Amino acid sequence: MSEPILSIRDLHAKVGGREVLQGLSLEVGAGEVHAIMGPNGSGKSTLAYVLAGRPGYEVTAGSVTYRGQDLFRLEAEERARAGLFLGFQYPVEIPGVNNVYLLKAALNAARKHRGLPEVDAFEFLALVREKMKVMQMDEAFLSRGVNEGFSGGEKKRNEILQMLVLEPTLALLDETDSGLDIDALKVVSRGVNTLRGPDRAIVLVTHYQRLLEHIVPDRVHVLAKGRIVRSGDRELALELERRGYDWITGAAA
Amino acid sequence: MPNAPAPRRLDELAADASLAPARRDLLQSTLAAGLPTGRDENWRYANLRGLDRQVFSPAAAPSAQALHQAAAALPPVLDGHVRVVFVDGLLSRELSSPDWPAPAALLEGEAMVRDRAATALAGRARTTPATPARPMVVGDRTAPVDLRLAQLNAALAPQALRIELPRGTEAALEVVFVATIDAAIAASHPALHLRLDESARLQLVERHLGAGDSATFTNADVRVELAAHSRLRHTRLQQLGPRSRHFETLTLDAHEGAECELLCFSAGAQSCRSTALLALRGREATLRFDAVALGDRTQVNDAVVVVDHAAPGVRTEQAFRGIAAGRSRVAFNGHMIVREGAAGAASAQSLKALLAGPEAEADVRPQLEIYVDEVRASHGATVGKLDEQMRFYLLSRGIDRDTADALLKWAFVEDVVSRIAPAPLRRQVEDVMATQLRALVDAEALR
Repeated sequence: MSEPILSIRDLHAKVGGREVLQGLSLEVGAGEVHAIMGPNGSGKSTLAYVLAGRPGYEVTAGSVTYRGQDLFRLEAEERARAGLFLGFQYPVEIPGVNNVYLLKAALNAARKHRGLPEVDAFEFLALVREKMKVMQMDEAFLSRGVNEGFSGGEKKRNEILQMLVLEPTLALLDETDSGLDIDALKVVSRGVNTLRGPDRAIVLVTHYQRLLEHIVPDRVHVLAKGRIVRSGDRELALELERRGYDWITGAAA
Repeated sequence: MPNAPAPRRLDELAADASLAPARRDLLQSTLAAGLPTGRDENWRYANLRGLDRQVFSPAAAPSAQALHQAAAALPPVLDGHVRVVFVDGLLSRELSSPDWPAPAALLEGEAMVRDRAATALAGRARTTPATPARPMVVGDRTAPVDLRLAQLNAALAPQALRIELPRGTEAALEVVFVATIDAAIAASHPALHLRLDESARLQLVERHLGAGDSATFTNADVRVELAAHSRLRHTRLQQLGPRSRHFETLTLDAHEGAECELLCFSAGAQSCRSTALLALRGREATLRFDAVALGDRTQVNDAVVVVDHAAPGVRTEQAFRGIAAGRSRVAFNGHMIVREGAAGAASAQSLKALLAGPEAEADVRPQLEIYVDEVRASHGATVGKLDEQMRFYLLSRGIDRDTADALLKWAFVEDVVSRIAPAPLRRQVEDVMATQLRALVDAEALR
């Protein structure tokens, strides 16, 4: 049996003095796709940020092991280099920092971490072009500032493009489906699906079952009041779609 | 050093009987008005410490070693530009391009001093704003900028470069002022007078460079007159050494339909004070003024820029981007005056400073004085810190903290720096910037 990629035990975390995660436990194995669903304010985004190492999110108890090491001993940038990727719900615009420069710098940071030389300029461009094709993005995006003037859908595509270039071991996608029309949702889903593989894991944070029609999860978890209150297979997502969250969260209260 | 003149302070120079009378008169009248102090509203952010004890006597002809240092400090000549080099305020023919620009002349002697004194004083008189009938004031008001340091330059500069571009002609010129001599021995007084005749076009690069790591003192005076429909693109780069002290004064008069693009990049010197008085005196003259100031360590970088809209239909745009890192202090005072006669004028101002050190200080002050109804004026001024969300986004992509900060600082000034032309000059500036931002950003990759 191989070790899980991500193992969360009894995690408690505070944001702005409020305890948002209240004893969350979760295991994600290699090759698996997990979906985390739950009502607004249940702690979904907090979980993603805590795992990515965002400042202002204070872990008060519990542990997270990522590929056998204590995740909280790593700074945010070290987690990224070690193969953890956060797809932001609201990717920030950084005018003046070139999109392709960020891609290259991020890739080289990860390569350096693995003891590899910097990527060759031509190979890099070929790689990016190939991934942009998957994401149906125009090459003009490369020369623009990071997310500068991108529409909501373009920003989400850009997140997935970064993910495809970086090929993370663990991808946390925070509401990547929000704000996407049906065509964009298909493109984004196809991008995520190309990353699936036996050595990787994907955690999807989402409100809606519709994303899971395109990215079929191995496990579905319901998060309520900072804990996972129910887990199941994709049937659970369908049931949530039919019945809402109350029948579960009510029981958990 | 043979025959080196003794170092002298201003009061000693003013009392020196061997100084030419025109110089002494101007010096005495300037000193009678008093040197600027931190109590003067327009000088409160400048580093004026010990100005009265500063050696102001002009440097003698540079030694062979100084020339050698200066030569080593010069960047490659820009394509198509004629270069004129001054070392410690004195023309160096050997470092300048062999093809001396035809419209340029080197001014020397007492007649030059009288002439320069007269124009400096005339400039000063012109800056006093008319008494407003109905003043509309945004921000705090200050006295109009004064030209005392320019007068000191006029009194003491041994030489001035005058460039007069004849009607309808075109030129590209680079004037480099290299400072090498230690401030305890002598001062540099770079002086440049520029006149573009009707419809003439000039691309001018003005550089102030340090050679070696000596603690130099410079006091520059640049005067520009743009006749009707002339066009000037003027890029000013201040990259003096880290122990140097620099003052500069720029006065510019633009006449009918003249177009001026002025871009100032200031990253060097221990302390730098830049004073600019930019007057649009002719109908529909336009000015675009961009400035970048980078402060680090204990640097002091202070600028006061007065833009005087004095004719109908004139248009100006102003952008300032300043970064105060370490324990540095960066200040920019952008004073816009729109006079009664300037109906239909348009003025846009955007001043932004970034506080990038816990002990750094940044001040941006927009000031608008409008004395006419029919005018479009917009202004914005902000002082902020590095954006935490942007920083986290970069970290989450594996970028290390120092590089993330350097990238965000780079991004902060990029909209102004990207305007620098021609491209080789912009690359030179970007290289300076990359070094200043701790060399962690690969400038090549950002372009």
